[in-house]
Amino acid sequence: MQKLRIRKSKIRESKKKVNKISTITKYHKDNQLTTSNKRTRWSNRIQQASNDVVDPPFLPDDVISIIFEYLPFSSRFNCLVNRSWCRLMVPILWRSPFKWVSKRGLNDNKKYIFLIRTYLSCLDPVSKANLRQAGIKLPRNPKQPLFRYYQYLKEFNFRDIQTCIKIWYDNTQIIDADLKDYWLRYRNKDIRSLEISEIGSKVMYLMTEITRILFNSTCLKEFAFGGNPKFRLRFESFPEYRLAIENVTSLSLDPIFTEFYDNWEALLNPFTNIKKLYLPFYHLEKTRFRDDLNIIVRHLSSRTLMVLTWLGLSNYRLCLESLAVLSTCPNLETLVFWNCTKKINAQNQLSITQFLSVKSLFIFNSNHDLKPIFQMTEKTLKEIVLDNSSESSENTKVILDAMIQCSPNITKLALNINKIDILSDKFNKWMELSKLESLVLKSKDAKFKSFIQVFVTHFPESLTDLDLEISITPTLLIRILNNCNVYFKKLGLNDKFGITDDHLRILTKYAETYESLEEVRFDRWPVIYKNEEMRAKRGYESSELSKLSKAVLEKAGKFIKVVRRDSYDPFFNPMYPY
Amino acid sequence: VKLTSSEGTEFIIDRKVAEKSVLLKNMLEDVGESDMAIPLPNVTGPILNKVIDYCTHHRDDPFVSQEDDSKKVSDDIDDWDAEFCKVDQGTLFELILSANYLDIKPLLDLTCKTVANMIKGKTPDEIRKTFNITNDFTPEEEEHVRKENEWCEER
Repeated sequence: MQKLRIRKSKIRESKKKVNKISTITKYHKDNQLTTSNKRTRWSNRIQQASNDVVDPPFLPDDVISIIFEYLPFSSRFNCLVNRSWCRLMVPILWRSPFKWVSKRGLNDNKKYIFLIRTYLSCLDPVSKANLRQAGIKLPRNPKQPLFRYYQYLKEFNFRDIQTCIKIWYDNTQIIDADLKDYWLRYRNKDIRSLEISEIGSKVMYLMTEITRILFNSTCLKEFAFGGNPKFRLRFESFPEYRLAIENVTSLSLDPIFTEFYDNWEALLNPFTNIKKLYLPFYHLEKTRFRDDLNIIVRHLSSRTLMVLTWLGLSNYRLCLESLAVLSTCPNLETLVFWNCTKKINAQNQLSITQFLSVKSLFIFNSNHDLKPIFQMTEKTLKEIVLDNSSESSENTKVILDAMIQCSPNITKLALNINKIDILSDKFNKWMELSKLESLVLKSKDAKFKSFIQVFVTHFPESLTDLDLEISITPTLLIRILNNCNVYFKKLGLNDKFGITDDHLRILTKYAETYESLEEVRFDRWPVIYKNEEMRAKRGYESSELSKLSKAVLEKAGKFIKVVRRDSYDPFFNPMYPY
Repeated sequence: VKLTSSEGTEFIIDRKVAEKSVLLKNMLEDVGESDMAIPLPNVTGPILNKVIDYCTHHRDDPFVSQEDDSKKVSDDIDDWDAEFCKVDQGTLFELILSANYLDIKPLLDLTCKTVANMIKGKTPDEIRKTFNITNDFTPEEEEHVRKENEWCEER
């Protein structure tokens, strides 16, 4: 009996082993299969340059694509080095071409012309014939295009498309005085008073044919209605429209453009999966929607209202009463206000009956008190980014006071403020009792250095991540660390002048003593604004990467798990592209 | 956890280190505790050694999910990682393949960023030379490709 039991147990063990071996083998088979599948006949063979490796490794296509994604745009064209790399790079290059050429500015007209030229070469013969019949001179392309470039478009921004087409037209057709006059009138006069001229009709033909071909893209994710409303197309009447926008998750509606549509329902209802909605009110005074969000929201499909998680408003004349309509969006998590102004005669006292599910609030250059928003999000709000550096301190103080009164559950706060004085005693008390876990502070105020030494004594115990975008000397760093009663897990010293060995030595000592510090970040400025053009755009001066000695870094690495350069801008305005 | 490289060299590592690899993590979860070595026929001993170094250094790093749409930059490599990637091109490519096979995303990203940094700022000819790539375009084809993509050429 005993022997039988032992035998049975041995059999069970051996079965288990067989199962384990077969599972492991299966994993390997599955994984090898996936890997080999990735190596299509187009997969690139990158041969070893050095002679020390006998069998040069292959890189699968998906890995080469990952490498390409990490390249800055300026280095991508040069990767068209052979058929295989070209096949992998072209879909990346043609995802957002309109955005890229627009970034170059109007001074570089050639880029617009080259881009439209390639799209025109992709038109079918019937479309080309129609355009020629309408009197448009098309470039002669005896050869078929090498790729269906339109297939890769991910961002359809009609404003950028209009700009490209207009520049192409302006530079390739015989321009007469009428056209020049036409553009001039377009630029200077009220757009409502303009009639479409004969030349304007030609431009419309072009926009129609190019839009039609772009609607054949299989990967549209972002869609933006905007530009000159005189050139609005009846998108909804294009047979390809519904299919093209099926997977669009981000929609931008310039109300001045869309308000010219009679049939909003046909235009907006086909969007069923919008998670991000941008409402850039460029022409604040001209649109009748300037203070009523309700009109726009009610034209969105009920499915969109259900799935919407993100709403951004820029140049909106805030009518907080109308924001109550957002309570019909149960999954709305993020609200962004950029350059929003107060509506004249808006009620100051509102009785709040509708609550929003918003967790994150981004406020950029707002001169409105926004108190009703804080009231409406009292239960859910966890994160606030307030960059009011170009507004008066008084406006910023009003916003902060509203936050202090209404938002007890904030865990992440990022503040970019002009005057440090506005962080009053009331603010300090709020912070002591808060659940704050992460705090980013940025200010150009010269008083910040003396202020911060006292300010840190009010940090709540929950605060483990502090990021300072101000100049901190080693001596000041010691004082900050000594004065506060919390144990930091993460510290960011992101002054534009970088950090020195002394800073890192102090932080290493801190990590060694308290064993809490896990991450040190620095050099956000030079990393993000490394590009000279970008720095100039933002009005930033040049700065260099911190120079840290190897020995100090090595010692820091023993006590701090991550010592890294930062590339994340906590004050990046998500409305910026629009 | 025991791992065996392609030549049969055995490595014993902590489970936490092994679990940086999604492939090994899933395998260990499904198979359970075992003293059997896991064979890794696609990874050589020296490369596996490097991969283990990386996973050990980053064993406590939190899992960071990156949105597909987030901006990808190759300048944010920290100093330890930069030092780790100072290897010859063959080893770097083997590391990429191993990271891909073992499904270690942070290592794959790091090694891909390093290759991207090798490409940055180079002319097409320099890129071909660096990676020993044969130009299989016909002259007409190359001209055609360049013309159709001329809008993105930085001059």
